[in-house]
Amino acid sequence: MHDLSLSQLSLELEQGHLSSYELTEHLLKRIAAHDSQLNSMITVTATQALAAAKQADSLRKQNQANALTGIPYIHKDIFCTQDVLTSCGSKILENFISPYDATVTQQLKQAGMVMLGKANMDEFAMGSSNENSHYGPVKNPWQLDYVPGGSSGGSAAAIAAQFAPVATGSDTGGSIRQPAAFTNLTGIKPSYGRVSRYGMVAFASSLDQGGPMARSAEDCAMMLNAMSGHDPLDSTSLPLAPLTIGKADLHQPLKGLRVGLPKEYFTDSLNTEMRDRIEAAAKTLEALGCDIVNISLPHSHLAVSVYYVVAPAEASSNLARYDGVRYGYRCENPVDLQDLYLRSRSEGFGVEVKRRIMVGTFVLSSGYYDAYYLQAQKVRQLIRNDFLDAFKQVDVILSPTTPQPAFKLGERMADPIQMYLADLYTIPANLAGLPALSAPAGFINGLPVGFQLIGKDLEEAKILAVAHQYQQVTNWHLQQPAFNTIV
Amino acid sequence: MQCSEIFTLAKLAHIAVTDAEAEYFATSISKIVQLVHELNAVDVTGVAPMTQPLADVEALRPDKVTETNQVETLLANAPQTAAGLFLVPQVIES
Repeated sequence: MHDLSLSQLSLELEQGHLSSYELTEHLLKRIAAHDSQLNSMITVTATQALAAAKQADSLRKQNQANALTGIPYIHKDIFCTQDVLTSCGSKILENFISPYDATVTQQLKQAGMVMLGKANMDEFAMGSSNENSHYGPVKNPWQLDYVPGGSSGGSAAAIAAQFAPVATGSDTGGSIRQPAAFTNLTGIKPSYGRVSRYGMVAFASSLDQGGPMARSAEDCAMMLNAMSGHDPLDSTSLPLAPLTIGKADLHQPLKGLRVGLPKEYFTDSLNTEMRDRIEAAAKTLEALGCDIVNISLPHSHLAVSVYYVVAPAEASSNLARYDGVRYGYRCENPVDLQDLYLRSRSEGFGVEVKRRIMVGTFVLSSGYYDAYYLQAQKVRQLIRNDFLDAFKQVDVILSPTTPQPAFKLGERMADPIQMYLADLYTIPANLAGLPALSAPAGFINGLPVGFQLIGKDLEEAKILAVAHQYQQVTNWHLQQPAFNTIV
Repeated sequence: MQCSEIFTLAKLAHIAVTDAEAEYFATSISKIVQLVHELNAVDVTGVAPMTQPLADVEALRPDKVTETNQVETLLANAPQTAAGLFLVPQVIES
């Protein structure tokens, strides 16, 4: 039953072929038996999960169930969970038990979903390989010596290994889409403000957005519906009702839909095999009735630079709260208050987090603020303007999700810039605040790759519809890693 | 970027770095600064800085008390407390 998708499981539960308790018990056993090979989980909440499953089953008996009631999921450890560790992949939060639930946690609880545990991730979501976790790197089920991507690498590896049908992720520069691409999943970063950030540990507040990861676009839609909606506790939450993307939305006619291919994303630096996969995806969309249009996003090449000013600046401010006083790690025997701050933070944060805090401190410091931070914010506007112009000609934008498939564990740890460039195609949608998804596009040397669809503001339903209809005529997303046949 | 600059940044960021770490960060942060330096060549005449993607969201809320007293819950995560307060090393020398 672990190989069934969310929508299939939902039907099985509804028809009474399966109980949530049986399903939950089965998946917990699967995690217990096999996660030692992947390290995808930081915390497994078996007791709470079984209790929640029992409750979901009784709701179903009372005819109070919805499509998600009793469906198990894995929660990225960036979302606060009352009474369960929320580590955010960091040593500094290794003992942090949140006094409250994140809004997303509450929403999924209210939908009757069953949390199996909390997924491993790059520390504070800073990373593209899941090698920056205090709890150890995560392995890619497709090839165990390769990274699963990051920062939502634990979520990605867990769904790919069929530990759960769906998981939550968060995406600041590609952290849902890049791991989805590296593990043959579908994942969507919604429009900025669509999903509440309340209780989602802050990295870069103007870029962070939570979203779902699953084995199909349809499953992402079902989960996103439950995660979306206005939240008075988040001042950047859009004043909109929750999404209700259903079958009719996913099957909206694609005839005449204009799909843009940005020429700046298809330069000589793009792996030729990757180019072939994306061009093949474009052909499939054409066969589905879409019109392919060449477009230009002239400031694309500046996105990584803008990101590595804006994100560290916001991070240095957000992470100032970890001081060893109110919660989190505190060093042993501090001699004075200054020593307590310095050593708690130095011992509690990993190398990448310290690097980004210092970069952020640099670009915000007097004398450099205008040259770096203010300038980056202006270029950010130019990048958003590029998209607004392009969307006068097209309805959605198609690109690769990543320049290459997954890389080997350890391969890029020595060179942070190489690591940052893995997010070259995903960063612009965060800077512009636009919805974007990644969906499976095929394989290169046995490793999955994804295509990215970027939509206009608030048009999650449209990009999900394109991906869904693509998945009706292709079977890339149905391919499973050998790991799942062995275990 | 020199090690001395790393020590200044680390101090501002409340992070302690050893000599070896300073050297390591000087190299990698220099590379990042070199990368982002390309932004200076962009003509941004007349462009307003973009602080976040939402142009028209009202961030203010009514100034009403919404929380009840949660002192114990909030202190539960603190490394050290005393008499309902967060405990830190002595600040004023006796």
